[in-house]
Amino acid sequence: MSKLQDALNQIKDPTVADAKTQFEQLINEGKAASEAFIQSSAQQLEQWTIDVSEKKMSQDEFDNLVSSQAILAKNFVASQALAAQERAEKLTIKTAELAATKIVPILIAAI
Amino acid sequence: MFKHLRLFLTPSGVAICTIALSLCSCATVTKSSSQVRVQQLEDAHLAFIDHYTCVKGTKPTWDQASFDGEVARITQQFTDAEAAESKTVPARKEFIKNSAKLFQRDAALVRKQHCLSPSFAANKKKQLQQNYDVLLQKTSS
Repeated sequence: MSKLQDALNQIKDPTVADAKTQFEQLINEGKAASEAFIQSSAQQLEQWTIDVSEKKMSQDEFDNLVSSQAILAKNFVASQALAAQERAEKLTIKTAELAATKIVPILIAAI
Repeated sequence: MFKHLRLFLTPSGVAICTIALSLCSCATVTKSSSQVRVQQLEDAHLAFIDHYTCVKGTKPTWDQASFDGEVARITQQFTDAEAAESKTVPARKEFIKNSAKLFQRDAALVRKQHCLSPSFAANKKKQLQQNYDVLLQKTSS
């Protein structure tokens, strides 16, 4: 079992079961992407989630990393061809937002 | 065969060569000074994160005046770097503006927590390197 799965398994709340599955899928899709920026963003977001679950970072610190990554990602998305922008946005900004709004607050409450 | 060479050895030829060389050296200086400025911003930003990283989980004695002074100095560095960039390349100005926003977020977090966890500092430095690498690649092209 991966460290990310270990972290997500600490969330027992059934109302976020779909969000957990979606988050894991988006992280795996991002890590498999051919674009270096998307790959690196997914790897970093996975690491931040693991660090929060291991109580190595506060929610404020996690939120800072996510909001900062959104700034970087907007530059990256804008540099992509129109057809690729939606996918790039989904795998960077939307995935980070999902973690910040649905996963991490409940993860912090659970640990 | 030496007809063209003779043309270059005339006073006007020498003048043309001098102007061409000056323009080339100006372009080189502008390019490298832009890169140097971006590198200085990265160094200052990373040093700021290092400075406010908690050592062995303990918070250092908080010095508000020193913190305010450091934030003001680095903020000014970003303002100067943005102003120094040519208007003909708006993307570079935008990148510096965004990097300044990243710094302001980090400064706000330090202001709130007074020190950063080592884990956050490591993740943040990786994120900043990713950001400034993009900037440095863009300024070198």
